[in-house]
Amino acid sequence: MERVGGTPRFSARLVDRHWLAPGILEIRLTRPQGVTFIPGQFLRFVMDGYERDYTMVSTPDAETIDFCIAVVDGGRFSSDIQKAGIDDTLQLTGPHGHFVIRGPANPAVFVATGTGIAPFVAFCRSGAGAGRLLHGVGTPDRLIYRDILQSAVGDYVPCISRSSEKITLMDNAFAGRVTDYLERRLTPGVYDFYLCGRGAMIRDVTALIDQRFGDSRLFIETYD
Amino acid sequence: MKIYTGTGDRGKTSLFSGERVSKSSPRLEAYGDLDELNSVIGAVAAALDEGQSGLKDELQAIQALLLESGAWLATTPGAESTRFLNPFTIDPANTLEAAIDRMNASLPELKHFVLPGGHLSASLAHMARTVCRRTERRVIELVEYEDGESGPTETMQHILVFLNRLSDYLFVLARYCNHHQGQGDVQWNG
Repeated sequence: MERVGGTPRFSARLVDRHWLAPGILEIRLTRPQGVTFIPGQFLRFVMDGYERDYTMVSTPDAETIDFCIAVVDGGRFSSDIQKAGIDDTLQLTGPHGHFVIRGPANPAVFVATGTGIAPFVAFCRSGAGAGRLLHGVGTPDRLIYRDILQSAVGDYVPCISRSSEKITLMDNAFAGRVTDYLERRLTPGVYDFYLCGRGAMIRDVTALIDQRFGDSRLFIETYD
Repeated sequence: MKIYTGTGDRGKTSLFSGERVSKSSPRLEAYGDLDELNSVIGAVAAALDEGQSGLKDELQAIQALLLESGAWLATTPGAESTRFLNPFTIDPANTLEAAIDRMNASLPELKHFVLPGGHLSASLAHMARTVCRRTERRVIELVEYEDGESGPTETMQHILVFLNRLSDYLFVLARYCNHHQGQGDVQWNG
């Protein structure tokens, strides 16, 4: 393992790749000896001419380093990672980032949309899932890692914005966006909010926090 | 990575330790000035000539230390999040003192007041010095505002000493740059 500007750089082999849901891949890499991280941190894939960051869904002591990846039509990484052969070697740097559990000052509210669920999966797998977790998706088939989250989180709330299915059959499901849930269902108070998802969700939820949950703490990981 | 998040559009921002604070708070004023100082030091480095690469490296090391100071200023003292920050010790201030002594050894004794100016690199070093003095005042204001009579934490004390030595360093650097360019000090004939 060498260091690049103070950050460890290493190579890892692709050992598994499978679909978690339509358009969402999970990939597994070997975890080289000495590579560790704090749940919630991300690694940077150093590809041919570009880089991409992904948060691990596995725990630091697992045999493999696992990621969930939203496949984008025409996306360079989406294309390259689907073309990569099992046993191919990938270059990475890291770990990076500070989106990690910061000590329980207030009740935790985790808010994710889409594959923004990744750091929360790592939190839950490492036993740090105490709190309420909102996972915003368009349709129920995008509720990846549902079994793990449901058993590990105190209060797991799938927020389904576009489904015509009868989601009332699903425990705790909420019909609407995560912002709707926070506005209508979350009791006003002081919380530790952890947000991970696209910029629009982060912006809207932050506005709600400033309006309704003053004095709360806010930790953000955004991707676009 | 997108540069804009839109999360600060209503005049608040998040500290590294998670608290939402007004952008006009003393803490924001302090690390905003630190950011300004870092930018002006970047301009000083850009104005050095090719024969001053050692000095450029020294300024970039100072810029990295200013980023680390900024992380401390952006974190509520005593917050659990401080465990993710690099310790800020007294060593950087000691390193600055050694650098001041090194540059001073090659300069003529100062027997008069100097005007801020001369070569572009020296002029920018003077500008950085004044921003550094203001940053130091802002950090003192923050410490007085938040810690009152209990005084600064050890880390904040180290940052204050670092800023104080840095303004001295920037003064000597300005003289050093003018002498390096063969211009000497710009004397005040008042």
